[in-house]
Amino acid sequence: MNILSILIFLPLVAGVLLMLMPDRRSQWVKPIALGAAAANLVLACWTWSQMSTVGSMQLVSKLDWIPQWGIAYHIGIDGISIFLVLLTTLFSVLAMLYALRNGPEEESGRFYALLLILAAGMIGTVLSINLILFYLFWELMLIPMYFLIGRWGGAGRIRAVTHFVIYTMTGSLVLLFSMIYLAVQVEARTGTLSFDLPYLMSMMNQLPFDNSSWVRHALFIGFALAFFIKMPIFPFHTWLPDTYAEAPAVVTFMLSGVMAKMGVYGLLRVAIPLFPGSLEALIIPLSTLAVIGIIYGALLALGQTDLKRLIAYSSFSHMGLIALGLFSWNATALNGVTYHIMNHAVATGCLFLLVGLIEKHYGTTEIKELGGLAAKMPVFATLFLLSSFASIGVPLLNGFVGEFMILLGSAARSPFFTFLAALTLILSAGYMLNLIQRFLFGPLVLSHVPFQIKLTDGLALAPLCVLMVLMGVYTTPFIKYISPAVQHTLTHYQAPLQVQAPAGGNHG
Amino acid sequence: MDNLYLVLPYAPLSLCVLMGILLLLMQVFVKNSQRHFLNYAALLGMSLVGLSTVLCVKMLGEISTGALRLPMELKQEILSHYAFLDNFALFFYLLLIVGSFLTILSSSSYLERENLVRGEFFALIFFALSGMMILVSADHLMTLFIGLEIMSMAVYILVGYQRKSAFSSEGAFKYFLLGAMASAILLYGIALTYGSVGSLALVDIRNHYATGNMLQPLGAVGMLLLIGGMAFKVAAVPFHTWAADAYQGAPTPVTGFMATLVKTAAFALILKVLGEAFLPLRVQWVEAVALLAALTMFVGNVMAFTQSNFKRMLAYSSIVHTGYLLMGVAALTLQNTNQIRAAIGYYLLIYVFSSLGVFAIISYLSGRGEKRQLISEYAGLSKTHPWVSASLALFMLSFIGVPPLGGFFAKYYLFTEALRQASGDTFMVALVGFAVLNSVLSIAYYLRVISTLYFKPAEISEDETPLEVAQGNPSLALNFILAVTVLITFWTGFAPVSLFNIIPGLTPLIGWLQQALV
Repeated sequence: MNILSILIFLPLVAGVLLMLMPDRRSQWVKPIALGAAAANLVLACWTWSQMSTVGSMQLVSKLDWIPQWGIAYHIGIDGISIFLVLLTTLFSVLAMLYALRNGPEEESGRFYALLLILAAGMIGTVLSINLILFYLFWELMLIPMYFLIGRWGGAGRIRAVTHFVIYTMTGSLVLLFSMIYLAVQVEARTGTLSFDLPYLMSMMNQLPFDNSSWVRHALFIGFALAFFIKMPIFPFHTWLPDTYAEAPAVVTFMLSGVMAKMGVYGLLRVAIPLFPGSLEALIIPLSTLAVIGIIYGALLALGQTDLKRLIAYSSFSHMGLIALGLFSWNATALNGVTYHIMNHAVATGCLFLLVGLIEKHYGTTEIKELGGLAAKMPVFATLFLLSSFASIGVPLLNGFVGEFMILLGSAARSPFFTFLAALTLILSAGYMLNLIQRFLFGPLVLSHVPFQIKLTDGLALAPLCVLMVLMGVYTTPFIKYISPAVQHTLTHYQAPLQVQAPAGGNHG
Repeated sequence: MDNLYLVLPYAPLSLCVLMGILLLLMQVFVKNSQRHFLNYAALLGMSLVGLSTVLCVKMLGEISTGALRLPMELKQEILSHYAFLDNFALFFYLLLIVGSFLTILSSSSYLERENLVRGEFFALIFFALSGMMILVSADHLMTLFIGLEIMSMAVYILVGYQRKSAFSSEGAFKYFLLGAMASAILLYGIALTYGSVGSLALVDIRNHYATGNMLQPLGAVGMLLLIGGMAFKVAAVPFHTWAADAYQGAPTPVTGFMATLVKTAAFALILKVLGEAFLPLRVQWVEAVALLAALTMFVGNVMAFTQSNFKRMLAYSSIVHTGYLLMGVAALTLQNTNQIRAAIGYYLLIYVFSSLGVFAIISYLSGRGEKRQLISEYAGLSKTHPWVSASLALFMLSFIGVPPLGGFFAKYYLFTEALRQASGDTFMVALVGFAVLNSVLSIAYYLRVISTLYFKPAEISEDETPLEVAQGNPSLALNFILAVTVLITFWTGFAPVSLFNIIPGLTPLIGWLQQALV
């Protein structure tokens, strides 16, 4: 069996087994779940060591599923997807470690089972090369999320999760429609109905409508909408603050850390390579949306009085920057995007975990009810500072590398948008430092006792902190794999379509 | 063996009628304390009907897999020139028989609970089934009408079977009045068609129009009336007003029967009339059907969203599914390569089984006198009935169209085939797009059910017994129904090509459907 299939099905099978496990055996739940997640992380690392630095798909495996509909079990991995796999597997392990102490007590078996199924869905999404398979895993990722938030979330959870699911599913169904429409159009020209991504890409120039026709642009939007919503990009972000705030800390960690990145991945792997011409045509409105997202998100973050919501909006603002890099669609920017996906996940994820600790111990995340924590809890304060700095993009920490590459790449495309986007550096420093001032260093508001960071929590946080520093100073092992894959994506999917390479001039 | 071949085509239908009469007679001779025996007799009878149908399928397969694969025109005459047993009919026979079997199973505990076990109930199911069987094998508008009426008569009575309930009587009354009206319209349409074409055999009508005869005003009015009558039978908007009341009032197993099997039979009728007889006139009727489809989806969705009664919500949600299927009908074409018929069959198959599962669950949960019908009354069910609520959630997700459940592939198949036919036809593309938007709308009310089951704590007021006390444990019959329907929902969605060569996968199923229906 292909190693990639094991990566997908190990957590899935473990999750389903845990789901069926009778309650009286609940002492086995945590060891099994953690064991499965850790085994998957080891497998992912092993996969990484097996990969070469060529840019194309590796370890490809293809099995027919429903041949007359062109649906195949077709999976593979390249220098971009490996890091998302590593991220997902690492984050599942950390989420479970963190949940050991801070997770729900009730029905914990289901909780861990759903986390495992969620991981399976995300890994499957990243590895699929067949569009229907991609869609299948894309939806599989949503269902556990729905139950995780709806069952274990805060007081307003049902409203928030319904909002979230309806939003995402709207995107999904439009995506499905666009996929079918595209495949049927290709079939009408070539006689083969297939949802294989490479096949569709090679046939894009056979379509009856040319690169500038509105049908093509509409299809592009149909594909991209689902990913825009998942990321989210302004103005599709309205589900985000409620969902992030209502979800339990572990789930927000997975949401912001991994699930949002699936939207980026979808654009990078599916939507833009299929329609590079439409990206060219729509570059100005799309970049405008990204920049609005950056600034609007940052301004909203400035005005928040709640820790969780503030970080949620800051996450949204950073996603705008990633989107801008994506729309620039050149090697530097895409390297930066792939790198920054991880940075953002690590920094924001760590912040959400820390906030989760606060919420658990003090029962509130209102900033004004907290304050002056640094004096009493130096370790906590240091960790919080470190992740905030990583999130702001202070040099020598990982955030800086990603932001710098994205801005560099997008400056080659449009200095104007880059200038606006660079405001994020000031704005994010503004709201984060303001937060730190009020939350960590202000006068001591809280009369509660300080708490210690326990061993399992420390184990969950430590890898993230190590990564923040490590990825800030030593980028080679990552860029070595990312760069060829990005090159491959750029050259392979633009050549047959004769789309002009970005001329480096000002398109804006 | 040769003698058997002569008798076999008649077997399913005659066995079905025979069983109905037998059950009526048994009712007279069986003692009151032995009533449950009727139940077993009905199940046994249904199995016999099913067995004979399977034999027919095998026989037809043997004939058609001779040296030269005979064309689909190969038909076994069963009612002179008026009805034939072909692959189309056999597919629907099997679907209807398995569905009726599950209906009888789910009504068994219902009837016992309500103290209504009588032979007539089962006899009526058999009579309704025989009507449907005549309908799906008919080849002549007159036979179609007779089959439809036999079915409808039995169902009118079944809806009002809970005589002491005002809702049941109201539902039956509305259904009967409007149904009789629709039958009259249909009959008038048939008469006008006869006046215009000169024959009522489907083949004759098709040939008449295929050879270039123009549609005369008389024939046009006839066709329009036919479409109206059929739209009533499948509860398409704006002919849907009876549906919610009839569904709510009918005993829940009967509601399941109506929502699934009666609808299936009605779609077989549409496939025969529009997809066979009037297919050459597609240009003339396609816009009307497309408009009906769009209206049906949208209005159904809006109405379903506003319901708090589960049965009414499902009534409207079944109207929405009718809309999708009508979209499939609008995509019918003259070419044989068009697989839209197979897609419609596949959709019906999945819809029938998941709906039967849902109605079996409601019949169990609603309790004596069907008092609990509000969705909100099922709050916290996941704690007390994990297996039942997991199945219910699964069916809801399948209705939404979440892969890899059956509902996803049903929608996928239908939408793909509709788009395939539509290539270049913006009108159809728009219709499919509208259907996709409607699937989005439907998410809201299906999710509400799941979130009630799983996320809301149980509310127990003082005067009510808690849910688990009122219901008792799920009966063996319910567990069996759920096992079958859940398995089918998974299998139709997820089955790989074949699992270790033991369980035939999706591909053979689709292949068989294409052979049977295209």
